[in-house]
Amino acid sequence: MSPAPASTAAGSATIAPAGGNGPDGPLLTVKDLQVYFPILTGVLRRRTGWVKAVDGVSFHIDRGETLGLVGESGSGKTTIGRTIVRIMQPLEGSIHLGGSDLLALRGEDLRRRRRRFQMVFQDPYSSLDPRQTVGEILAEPLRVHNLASGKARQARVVELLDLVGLEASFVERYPHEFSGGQRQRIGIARALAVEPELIVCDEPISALDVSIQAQVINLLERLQADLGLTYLFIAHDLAVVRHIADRVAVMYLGKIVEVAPSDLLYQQPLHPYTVALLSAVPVPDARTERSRRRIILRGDIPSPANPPTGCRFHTRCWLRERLKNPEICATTDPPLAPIPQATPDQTVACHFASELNEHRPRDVVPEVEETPVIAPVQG
Amino acid sequence: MSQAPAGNADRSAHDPTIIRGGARPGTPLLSVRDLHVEFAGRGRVVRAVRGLSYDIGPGETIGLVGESGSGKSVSALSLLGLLPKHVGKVTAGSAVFQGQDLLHLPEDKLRRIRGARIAMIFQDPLSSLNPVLTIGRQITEAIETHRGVSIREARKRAVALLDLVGIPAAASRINDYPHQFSGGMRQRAMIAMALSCEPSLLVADEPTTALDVTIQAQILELLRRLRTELGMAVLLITHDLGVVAGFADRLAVMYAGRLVELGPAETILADPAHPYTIGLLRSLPRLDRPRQAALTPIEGSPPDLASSLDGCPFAPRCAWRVDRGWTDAPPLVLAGGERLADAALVGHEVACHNQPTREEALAGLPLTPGFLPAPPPDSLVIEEEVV
Ligand SMILES: Nc1ncnc2c1ncn2[C@@H]1O[C@H](COP(=O)(O)OP(=O)(O)OP(=O)(O)O)[C@@H](O)[C@H]1O
Ligand SMILES: Nc1ncnc2c1ncn2[C@@H]1O[C@H](COP(=O)(O)OP(=O)(O)OP(=O)(O)O)[C@@H](O)[C@H]1O
Ligand code: SF4
Ligand SMILES: [Mg+2]
Ligand SMILES: [Mg+2]
Repeated sequence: MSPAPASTAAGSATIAPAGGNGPDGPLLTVKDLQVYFPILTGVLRRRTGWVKAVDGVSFHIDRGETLGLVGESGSGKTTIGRTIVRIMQPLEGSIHLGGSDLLALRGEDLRRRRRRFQMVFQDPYSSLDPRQTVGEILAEPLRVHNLASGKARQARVVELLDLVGLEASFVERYPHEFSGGQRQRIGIARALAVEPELIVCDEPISALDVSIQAQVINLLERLQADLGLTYLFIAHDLAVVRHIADRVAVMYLGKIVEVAPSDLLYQQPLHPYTVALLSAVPVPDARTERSRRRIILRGDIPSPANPPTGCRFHTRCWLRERLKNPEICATTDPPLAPIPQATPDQTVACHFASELNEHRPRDVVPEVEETPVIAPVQG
Repeated sequence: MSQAPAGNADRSAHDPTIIRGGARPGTPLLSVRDLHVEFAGRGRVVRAVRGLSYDIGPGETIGLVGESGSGKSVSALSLLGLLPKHVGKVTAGSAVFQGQDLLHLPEDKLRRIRGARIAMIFQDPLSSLNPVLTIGRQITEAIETHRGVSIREARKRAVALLDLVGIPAAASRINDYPHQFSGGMRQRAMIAMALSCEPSLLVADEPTTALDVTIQAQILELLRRLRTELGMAVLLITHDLGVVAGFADRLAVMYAGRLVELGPAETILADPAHPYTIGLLRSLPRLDRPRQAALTPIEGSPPDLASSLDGCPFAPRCAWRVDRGWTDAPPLVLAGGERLADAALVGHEVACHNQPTREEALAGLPLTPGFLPAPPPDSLVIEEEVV
């Protein structure tokens, strides 16, 4: 492993991603990650069990790539994000960023490394300190990481504001004076201040107005193109994820059940949960919605403290039901692997993935329709 | 449906005898006219609802959609007398429900209608379920209050209702407390409670927003079934245009306290006529369309509702704005031009001084050669243009 090059000159006019460890190989590699939370009961707070929030998850993200992470609420998406940025400690597993072992970092090393991975949070209202001006919010990471001081720091703050499409005059203002979309931009500028390589975006647009969401998505895409950023993009809106992600990982109860390039996942899902998820997303077209059929999953999501045996989805799986409830689903956990009928970059954790298409009801996944495009008249 | 010419549709805003915006013929179940709601506090007056008029026919579902903060929830709460006391108040308007004006009814009379003939469900079921009472007790209480039946009878009914909304082993789960239910189950329990008296109108404020899409699909399926079985009208408040597409008969689109577009859901989603609705539909990434290179946001942000907003509230963000838009608020009238014939048939109304053509709606911008959005008059200083 080569030593990381020194950071770019403080206050320089360009923002380059902080140097990495060789250009080949994925930027982020997560292996067999397990994050459990203790269930404590009684006055003695004795541990009586574990919430298996993340239970054996592996994936990678290439440099400059966006991996979308979707799945049922409580399936462990946020926990994965927080573990990567080292807010949480895993029980098992490894996380490598640019070749170096993140989990081995301690104390000063960790503090210095932190600038290479940043997180943008869901709630633009609570994630900014209300007593700090925007200028102070953006200057703080620069000070903490000794990235710029004095005039250079001021200049860098203005540059960051400009980068996210906000005006220089905003430095004197406080967060409450801004709209949700503007606050989310400030949160993004703060994450960018330290020139990270990887940004974990945890539902960065869910709290925003629909008409503002597109502004923030476009901003994230522009910054990625300009700065070569790598994103882990956590969201529950599947249409947004299809738009922004190169590849998508689908989670269910602490495990990844399918990973595929965006186009493939949406056109040819291989896991019965992915199919159910896609069939549940309503589209804003009355005719399509009225003629569409849905796979309605029965029952509720089981508790991660006591997940079903075998395949975790087997208690709600429509495919298993159609196959007359094969025993293996309830006894053996299916591994995440490619299947012969699909390309190797699509992996799925289901014993019967190769039989899915035979049994999948028609008209459940919205079909893509071309819309007429009218060229604007030159005026 | 009467084929009112554009000029007359405007007048009907204040005439409670005219059914508007494509409502079913006959007496509407609920008729809201010129509703105004204000909040006072800390030296500011927020005019949250600024002249809202619509009808709901018996058994009909209206989807109330629009920008966050546009007044959707407040307008619904005001109908039920549920505005926060001393802060929010209705300053004008009427809301006639089965012959009675809800806005001018004494509190005890309104309470009797609420829960019995009009029921409400909210986004967050925990806020409306009592944490220290069992689910069963809360439902039986509602039944006893409004129906005056015996405890045994009410209990039997409660089990049947929980069963109806798909709670497994209802007879035993009836003794559970709200925290023992999952989010989706709580939402279903709240629906059971709301439906316990077979209301003729259900007001559902973002009933599925906090839920997963797979659970959302379950709940919408349930509501759809119950709606048909009970012949109940629904006012569904949501920001999700996908949800209303398959669920609502008509849409009412709000922006800054006003309706900007009203008409059949199918018409508005396929042929939007207001620049805000057009922008909203264009800004969404959609699973039923090819992936776009970049999204098309509506630039800028919604206005501050404490300001006077004399003109069209959308003017600062609108590519079609004309001079008049800065000073006069456009009335809600039948969509005109090439849309007029259809609009008159189905009741498609829009509040816009310079209605985009269909071609322009598809392109997302004005196509008249040389057209430029009207700059603000000197008297109006626009504080910040957000990029
Ligand atoms: N600090 C914690 N202590 C105990 N349990 C936790 C903690 N944080 C998360 N959990 C549990 O871990 C599981 C995974 O939670 P997580 O927040 O990662 O889910 P998620 O996929 O992000 O869900 P959502 O879509 O709702 O945000 C849940 O069951 C949650 O209740
Ligand atoms: N208790 C209150 N005090 C002062 N202003 C309020 C109060 N409740 C609501 N408002 C204001 O009234 C306006 C309308 O709010 P409302 O809750 O109806 O919006 P909404 O359309 O339901 O938005 P959302 O989609 O975010 O739920 C908002 O601008 C809001 O700030
Ligand atoms: S392994 Fe069995 S239960 Fe699991 S998803 Fe596949 S068919 Fe369904
Ligand atoms: Mg989360
Ligand atoms: Mg609301």
